[in-house]
Amino acid sequence: MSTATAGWLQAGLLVVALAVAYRPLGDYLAYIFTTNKHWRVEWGIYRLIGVNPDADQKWSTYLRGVLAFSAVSVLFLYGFQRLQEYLPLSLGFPAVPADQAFNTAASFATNTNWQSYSGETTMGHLVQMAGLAVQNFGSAAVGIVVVIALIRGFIRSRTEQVGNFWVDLTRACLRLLLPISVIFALVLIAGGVVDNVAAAHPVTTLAGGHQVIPGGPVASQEAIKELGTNGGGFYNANSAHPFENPNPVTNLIEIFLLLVIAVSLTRAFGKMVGDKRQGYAVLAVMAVIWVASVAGISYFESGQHSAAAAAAGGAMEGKEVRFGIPASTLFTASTTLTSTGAVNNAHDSLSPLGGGITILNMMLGEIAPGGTGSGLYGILILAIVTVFVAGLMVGRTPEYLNKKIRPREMKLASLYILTTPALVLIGTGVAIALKGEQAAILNPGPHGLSEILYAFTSTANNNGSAFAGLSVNTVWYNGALGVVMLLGRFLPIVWVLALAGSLAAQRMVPASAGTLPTHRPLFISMLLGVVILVVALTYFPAQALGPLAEGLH
Amino acid sequence: MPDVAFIALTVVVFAALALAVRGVERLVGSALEDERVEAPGEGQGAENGVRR
Repeated sequence: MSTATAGWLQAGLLVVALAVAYRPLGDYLAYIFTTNKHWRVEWGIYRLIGVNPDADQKWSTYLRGVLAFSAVSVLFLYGFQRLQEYLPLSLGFPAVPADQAFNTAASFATNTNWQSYSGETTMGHLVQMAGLAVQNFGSAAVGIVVVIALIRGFIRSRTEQVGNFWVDLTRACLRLLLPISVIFALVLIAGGVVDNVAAAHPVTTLAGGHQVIPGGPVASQEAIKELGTNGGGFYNANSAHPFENPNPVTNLIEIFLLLVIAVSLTRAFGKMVGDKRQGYAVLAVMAVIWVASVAGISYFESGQHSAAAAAAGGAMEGKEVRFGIPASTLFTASTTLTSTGAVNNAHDSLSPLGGGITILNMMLGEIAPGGTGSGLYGILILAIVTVFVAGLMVGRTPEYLNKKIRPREMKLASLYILTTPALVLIGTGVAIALKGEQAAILNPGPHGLSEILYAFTSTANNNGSAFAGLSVNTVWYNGALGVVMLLGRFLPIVWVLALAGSLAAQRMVPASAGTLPTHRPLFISMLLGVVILVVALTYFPAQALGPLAEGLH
Repeated sequence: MPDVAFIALTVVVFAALALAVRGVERLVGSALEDERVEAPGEGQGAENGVRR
């Protein structure tokens, strides 16, 4: 079978698998967050934390719950790493340095999973299992519950209540993430992913050399790493490591996992708002961007622009031969469009324009289909901007899902759209301006700029993948990127939950003859246009100086 | 000493986020009252619209 045929087959299988899961998982998601029945184990948790599960919260109370939970998560994880040497299963590793512990705590609590450390040489098993993996569940659940609160804002009227954060969080973890993760951890073990609590094994190689092979609870973390669009690898090589991702089958399963919740949430959205076509419309926009990205990266990576690429049949530097180009580019496009950040190849070795697309994917705001929950609330904000633009064109008060989009809602949507570019561009500018931090750039010229731009784009958008070629394990980078991750995650959540409260307070406006239908191809194309014009062009000068300059050189 | 610095940094960031919540509360705070003013006579007895 040719490489191209294998690539098409894998992409086709992936789409079929997502299509099969779409309806049942989407309906289940909607059920989880609409049913009034509590599980017995959930009652126990509510009693333990002193929560009345039947009392809904005002949007600001819900938001304070998100922030309090996340602040405690950061501090807990920070302390865990700093006390590592005193904990069991530490494998003899010392405490993680303070700046790196802060960066890692911020990273995992924000669903970013940016790693300035090498997992197998820094973290003991207990920190991996009870620290980092717990945050993989918690941070993914936070993204999901925020978009559920936003959807409630659309479907409720004349109330300020958008749900109960603690109930939603508990349900997202216990009813969704935990069971699916357990099932797929077993599937990955069957596929060859390791899972043990053993220390490193010293072995003698066939050539007589000595090598240390690190084991660990990998499969159990691999499932939630992808399912929760977290992305932090047990090993430094992430999903390029044969113990994390041994073969093309596990590779396909991992790509499926990192897409499935974000895709299915559009079904849950359509079901909860009472018009499934709304979910299909949003999904259509996501799908167009995803297909374009996969095609674009595959095109540039398959190109034989140099003697080495011509000899290898494409740009094989930094790619695993067991995956080849199609399985690498499918993973690369999916991971950078979902805020996952796991990698099965070296993004720094991508062709300039292929690498440029990965940066663009993240710059779009992780919306196609985006992170668990964060992708859907990101694209719903852009849908609001789209109906506003359409309203300006025809001189009508814009409406979306039977709610008026007034100046208050537009202020919040504008704040959302401006927050991430400000963090990315200001952060990149400051990093370049500082003399000391310039030494961290290992490649000169446009590629060096791309490396810094990638770092700030990845952290501000909570993706977490890295371009490499940039020495980020310094006090300044650990601190600055840690703050960028926290602000890039929680400021948009502030605007989204405030928007949910503002929408929930409104009465429902019946659709009239002048209402723009938001499920038709016209709206889908307009939303695509807004994504490109409003978001992508914001970053065009930075892209032009980095990947475009390098690619067109 | 570095622990104090990074814990303080975490506290400062979340304090800033809490301030942002206060600011946004002022922006959104009156949304429900505005809605009641816009639609007089439809308060008590009308469906409250709360759905899970």
